[in-house]
Amino acid sequence: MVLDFLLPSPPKSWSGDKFHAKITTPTKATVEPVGRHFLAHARRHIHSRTFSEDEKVISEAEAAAKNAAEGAQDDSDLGDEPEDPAMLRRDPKDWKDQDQYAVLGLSALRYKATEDQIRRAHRRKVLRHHPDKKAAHGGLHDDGFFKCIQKAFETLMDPVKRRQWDSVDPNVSDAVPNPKSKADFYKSYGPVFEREARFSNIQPVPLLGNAESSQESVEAFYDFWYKFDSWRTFEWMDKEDGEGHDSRDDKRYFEKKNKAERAKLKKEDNARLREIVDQALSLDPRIKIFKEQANKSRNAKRREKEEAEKKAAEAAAAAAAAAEAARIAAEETEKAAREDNKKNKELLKRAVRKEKKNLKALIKDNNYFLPAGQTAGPAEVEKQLELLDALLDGAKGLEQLEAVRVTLENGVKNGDIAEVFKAEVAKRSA
Amino acid sequence: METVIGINFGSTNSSIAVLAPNGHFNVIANADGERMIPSVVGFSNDEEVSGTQALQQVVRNPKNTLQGFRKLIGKKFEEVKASSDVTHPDIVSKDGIPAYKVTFKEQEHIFTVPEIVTKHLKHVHEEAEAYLGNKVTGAVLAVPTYFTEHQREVLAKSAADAGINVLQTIKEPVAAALAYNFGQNPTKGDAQDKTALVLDMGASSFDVTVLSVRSGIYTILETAHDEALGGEAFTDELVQLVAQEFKKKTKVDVSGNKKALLKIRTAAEITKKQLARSASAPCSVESVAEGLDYHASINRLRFELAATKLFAKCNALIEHILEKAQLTAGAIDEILLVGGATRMPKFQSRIRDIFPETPMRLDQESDEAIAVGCAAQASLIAGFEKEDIAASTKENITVAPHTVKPIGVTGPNDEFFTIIPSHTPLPAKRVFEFGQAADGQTEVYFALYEGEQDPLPPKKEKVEKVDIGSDDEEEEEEEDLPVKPTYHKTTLLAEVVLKELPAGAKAGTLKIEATVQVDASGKTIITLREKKSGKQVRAESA
Repeated sequence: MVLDFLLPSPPKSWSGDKFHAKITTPTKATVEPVGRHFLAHARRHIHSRTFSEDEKVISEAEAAAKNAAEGAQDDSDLGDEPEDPAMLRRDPKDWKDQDQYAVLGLSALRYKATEDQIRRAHRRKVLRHHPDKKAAHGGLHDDGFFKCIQKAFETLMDPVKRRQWDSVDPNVSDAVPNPKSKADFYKSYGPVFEREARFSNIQPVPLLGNAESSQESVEAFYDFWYKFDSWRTFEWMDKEDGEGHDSRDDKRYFEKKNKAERAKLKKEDNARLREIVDQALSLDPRIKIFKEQANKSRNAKRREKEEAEKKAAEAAAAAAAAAEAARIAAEETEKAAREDNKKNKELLKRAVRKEKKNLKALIKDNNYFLPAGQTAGPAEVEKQLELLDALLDGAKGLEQLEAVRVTLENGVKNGDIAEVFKAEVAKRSA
Repeated sequence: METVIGINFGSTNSSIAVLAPNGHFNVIANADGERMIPSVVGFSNDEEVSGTQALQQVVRNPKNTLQGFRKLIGKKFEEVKASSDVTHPDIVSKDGIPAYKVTFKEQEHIFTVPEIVTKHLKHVHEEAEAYLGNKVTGAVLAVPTYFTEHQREVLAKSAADAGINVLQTIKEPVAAALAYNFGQNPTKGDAQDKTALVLDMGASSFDVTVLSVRSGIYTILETAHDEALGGEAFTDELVQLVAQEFKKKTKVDVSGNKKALLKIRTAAEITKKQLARSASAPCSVESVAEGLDYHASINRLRFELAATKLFAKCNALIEHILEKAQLTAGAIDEILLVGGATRMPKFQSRIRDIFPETPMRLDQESDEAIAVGCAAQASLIAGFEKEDIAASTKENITVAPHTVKPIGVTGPNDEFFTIIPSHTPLPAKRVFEFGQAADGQTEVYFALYEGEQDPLPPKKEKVEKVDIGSDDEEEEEEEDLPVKPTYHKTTLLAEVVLKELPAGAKAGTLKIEATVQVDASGKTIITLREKKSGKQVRAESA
């Protein structure tokens, strides 16, 4: 607070700093435990701190909290690289040729630097090289390098321009590894693919991997790299600035020239990448192993197949022979059976005929089965023979004929042949 | 994530506020869209209702509609004046505590006052959670200044039963001061030591508090309250007015008809609120009595005339409290208005009679100030452990020695410049900046005095004028403004001289910072420091 009050010179009565009286004894009263100022009061009371002590503690705590909140603001990830005196003397007009990363002190990170890192690096450089600051330290009013810093920052913060610069950054190698080198394949090609991966429109990019990588991943890797979609552009290398030409024809001419140049460079770059991938594929020990494995498995399969075919043919032949033999055997049995059958039938017929003959003989021997005392006239004989024929027709098969014969013979023996014959005729011909 | 709210549990209305992510305080509306949630609990046939819904059934079901239960918190049955009639619920004693007898689900139930408070607070809490969409982890409640420790405890317990984690209970005028940010952010234009008059006119009482703020710490100097004053008293006047008029028009006397009066009240309440904004407002009540309606427009002047006595009472209470606090009207730096009834234009203009120049704070929605202040306090202490909050509100911390007389410096014409005012809790520290009086002065003399307030000027006998027409004359008469307190009699406390200042500086250009510190025992430390050269001198009393 400023009081509208001016302090006078000491009066004559003054004879040294002195306390004359104490303040009137304070009275006790209750303060309201509300608000942040009361919190401060309570804090001072609890920790028995004075005002200045409390202020100090609080400001320290606040600073600590602020630091904690800005913990990510630690610039150790940016490294601390020395500034090349030649770089400091650069003419800002040639900013296109300067190493944009080195100007901001990011040579170690380069295309890997995040936007935040670039921003912080820029801030750090500005603090050091701002012309006002240099002037304040008695330096010359030389803002050359400061302009370089601003240009580099502008370039790197603009995603399009940064890509253009990254595309042609001379400090990142474009070299194709020597295919004849005896160096470890993974060690020499791994970093190359990592480096080239930054140009891919598709992220993440499959990397080379190591000897243990699976066949699928290796195949996917080569598949990806043969179809590589690169954003690398060569606008930065434009020899003539398309802008600033008065004549439209001039402009068009330079534009055309630049475009052609860019296309050429792009084509070359694609060829270069293709070469790297081709080389890698031809040198990749894993591919060789996979090929051998494939060969081996192919051979093994073929052998297996042949064996299986042979076995199958043998089995088929055996089966055919067995079938033929069985067929012949069956035919033979059938033939025999047929002949047997024929013989049986003949025998049966013969037996039936014999039986019928027996019966006819029987009837002739026994008075044509007429009752005793009745003489056999030709009419009766004919009638009895008709009856016998009907009986023989009714009795089918050998067994029945035999049964008829036995019955009739019994009838002859018992003397009641006439009745038996009648009954038998009635029974069989019914 | 802590979600904390401020709850103003008023005797008529309650409100809830919460700190929004944008840094502003939001007052939460209930499901019915009301920012002022009626402090009413009701029982209909088979349902328990709260807030707006409960209030809506008051005419239909007055016996089972409980209002004004805050006044009964922590009281014994004998202390309660039971006004039992058709329009009020029955109050009975249960273990010596007042309880309401209500019919609910066709059965008689008895609910004690704390139980009803719990029901109401639970409802309010649920509304807050429904609005915020997540669990409320803590709340700060406001209580009237006249609440005893016992009443605070009963309220806190009821709130705990309602599932509310009560972080702290704070006094209503203090909450309002916090909402108005009174003396919290001292700047060059806004002194850190001020005194405010908090006028809280709610629906059912008028609370006046003299509140001092010293470096952001509040101390209540004096408080008074009148339960007969309040928005409802003004509504009553309007009801009388309407009843008289109704009688004149229809020859039907409704003075004994409680139901008719209740109907008029509901309409009069709305009319009163409208009159705060417009010069006249319609008042219509359908079927007041005997099937007759009342439709009329009421003039603000007529209402103010009818309520003149009430306004006079308000002013009398304010004058009384100033006298009790031994303050002149000029010693009040700000007037903080709290409560819906303070919106009445006549109320404000009558206060202007006492304080013609004092800034009147209206920037906070007056009936939401307390809830907002509670929310501010809640958000402040949300991160603390409950034990720590309890420990810091204990008497060993809150009871602090306060200065009795102001400490300051005297100018050449005996004028007194206060450095540490009276009523400042100790320890205290103030830093002021001074210039030097003469060109080329190399030594400055700093003398610290304690001032004694001059006796208050004799009180003018004022005749309360009932006639509104003479308002203009009245104002003309009161030309002399109330003076700031003066301190002519002083006691020299200490003398300190800062020597060897840079030579050749023009008068007033050196910046000399004087730090005056008084600790709890009254020990004084003075430090003078010239800012540019860093030259300083320190003196300490024995």
